[in-house]
Amino acid sequence: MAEETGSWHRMIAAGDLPDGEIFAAKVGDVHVALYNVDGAFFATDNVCTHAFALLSDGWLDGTTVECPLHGAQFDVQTGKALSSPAECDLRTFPTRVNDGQVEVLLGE
Amino acid sequence: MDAERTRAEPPDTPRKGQGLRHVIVGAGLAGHRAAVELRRLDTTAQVTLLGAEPGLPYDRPPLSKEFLLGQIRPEALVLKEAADYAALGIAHHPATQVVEIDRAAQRVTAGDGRHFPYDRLLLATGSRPCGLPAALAEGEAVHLLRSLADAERLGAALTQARHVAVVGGGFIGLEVAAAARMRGCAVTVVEAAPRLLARGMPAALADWVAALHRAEGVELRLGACVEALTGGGAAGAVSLGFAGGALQADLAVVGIGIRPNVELAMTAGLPVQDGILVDEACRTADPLIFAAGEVTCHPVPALGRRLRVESWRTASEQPLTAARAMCGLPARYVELPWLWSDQFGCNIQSIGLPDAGVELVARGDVTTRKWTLVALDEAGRPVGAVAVNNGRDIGMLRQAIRAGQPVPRALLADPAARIPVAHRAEAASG
Ligand SMILES: Cc1cc2nc3c(=O)[nH]c(=O)nc-3n(C[C@H](O)[C@H](O)[C@H](O)COP(=O)(O)OP(=O)(O)OC[C@H]3O[C@@H](n4cnc5c(N)ncnc54)[C@H](O)[C@@H]3O)c2cc1C
Ligand code: FES
Repeated sequence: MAEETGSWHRMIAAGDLPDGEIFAAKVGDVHVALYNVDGAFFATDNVCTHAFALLSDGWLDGTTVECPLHGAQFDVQTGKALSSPAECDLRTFPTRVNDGQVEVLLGE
Repeated sequence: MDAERTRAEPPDTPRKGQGLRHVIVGAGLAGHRAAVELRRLDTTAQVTLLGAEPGLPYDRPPLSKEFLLGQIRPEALVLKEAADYAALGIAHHPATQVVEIDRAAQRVTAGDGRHFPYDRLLLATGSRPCGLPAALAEGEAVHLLRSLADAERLGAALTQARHVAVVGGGFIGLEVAAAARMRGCAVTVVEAAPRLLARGMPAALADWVAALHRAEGVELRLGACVEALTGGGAAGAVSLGFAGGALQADLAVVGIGIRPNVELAMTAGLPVQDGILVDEACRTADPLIFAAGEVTCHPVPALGRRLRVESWRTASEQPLTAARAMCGLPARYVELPWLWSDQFGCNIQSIGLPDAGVELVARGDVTTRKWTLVALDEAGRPVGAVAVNNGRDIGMLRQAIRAGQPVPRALLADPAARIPVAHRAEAASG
């Protein structure tokens, strides 16, 4: 469970991220991936936990994102690593739609 | 530790208070993954992992990449959870070469005479590199690359070497060439075939990779079959003679393919055809003996054939299926061959059989640094693909290949298009 501390960051207009697509943003040092799964928005770290690759360059199938480099899969709702070669889960971040904009809650 | 125990009960009767005895031969990625999965599935089972190599199971892909560049230390290669064997109750015996399977007595014997009785046996013996014919390859300065020990020896030699000869233009040879080049060595790749990646990869990929290596300063000698190689005598000197030329280098790395370690299974009378023959549940012809990883020749239903697959992914995923089957759970491994290679910062992936089609469709421009090539069969069904810096396409194409339906060429050729897939015809494995 992510803690409800930190601040909400505006990412993209909800209408600009189509279903099945991934949006990448960098907020400070944090790489954020924002996913549209059937109209619901989820956010995780954008950097794969295996080596260095951006998941936003990968493939989103339902709630599963697949890393473009060596194929590790993660559940974008929970951040859970679903398949090798990933060994660690991704951090997830709460999202909300505010005024037509998708926002992500990031820690301090 | 005395692993010997006499059997009194028939095979399927768990002994009082103790679970099934699962014995795994081969402590590479496949053996390790099976051991951890067996423990997870059955907390009462006895899990014994026997491996010929010293130390804990480790990851091989970095050996030809980051490790040769000196970017990671050996400890970092140890596979996740291998350090926890004691806590997990997995009995790992390193430096234990199994020399015999006695199927009637249900036990395996190690080189030092120890016996390990089993209720279920898993063969995860992997592969070993092919050497050149003995007469050709002699001496300290001739290297193979499969194990951590090999990589440590090669890494040390590379610190002194100025000129490196790589024999074999397959993935391993090319990765070593890239690493040596990135370390500042002059590198010559000598390949017998008229092009690189001749085994299983389309010519367009070979051409692209050749251009990449040449641009990075690697010299390629194609169509050059090695006829003489000596690396003895003075430290750091090899001479190579090949069709059309000769060269001197400080060391040579031979990467001309691998052979599955099937001898143990063959001697035990198990059917072997290239690899150890298994069904979708990783069963051999003996209902108590299973096999997983690179050593198997297994069915690939989506492609309608059996294959021995040389890839990390198979060694990582197939043992999960084997572990389920060993526990008597429903299990099917139906994945496509899938591998990656990283060279000079570029990522290459192959899925299915990219050279098995009758037609290739490009997604993107194959002269750029990012593209995918899809192989189609006579009916226009995708059977394989290669992607250069374009892993995003792989997941989609995997589904399309497994669905076994023709895909319109115009859709395939549009790099931005998603291929709609009637949800997967095949159930996922495990
Ligand atoms: C340098 C290198 C780089 C690679 N890079 C990539 C890559 O980029 N992408 C990719 O997809 N794949 C790559 N691979 C391939 C991948 O590492 C292998 O597919 C994988 O390691 C196979 O795992 P395995 O457990 O099936 O077999 P192995 O790793 O071969 O393990 C088998 C183990 O069994 C042991 N053994 C054999 N016989 C016996 C016996 N009788 N008794 C006891 N022990 C025994 C062996 O010593 C070995 O430790 C690479 C391989 C190498 C060597
Ligand atoms: S970097 Fe993501 S799977 Fe390797």
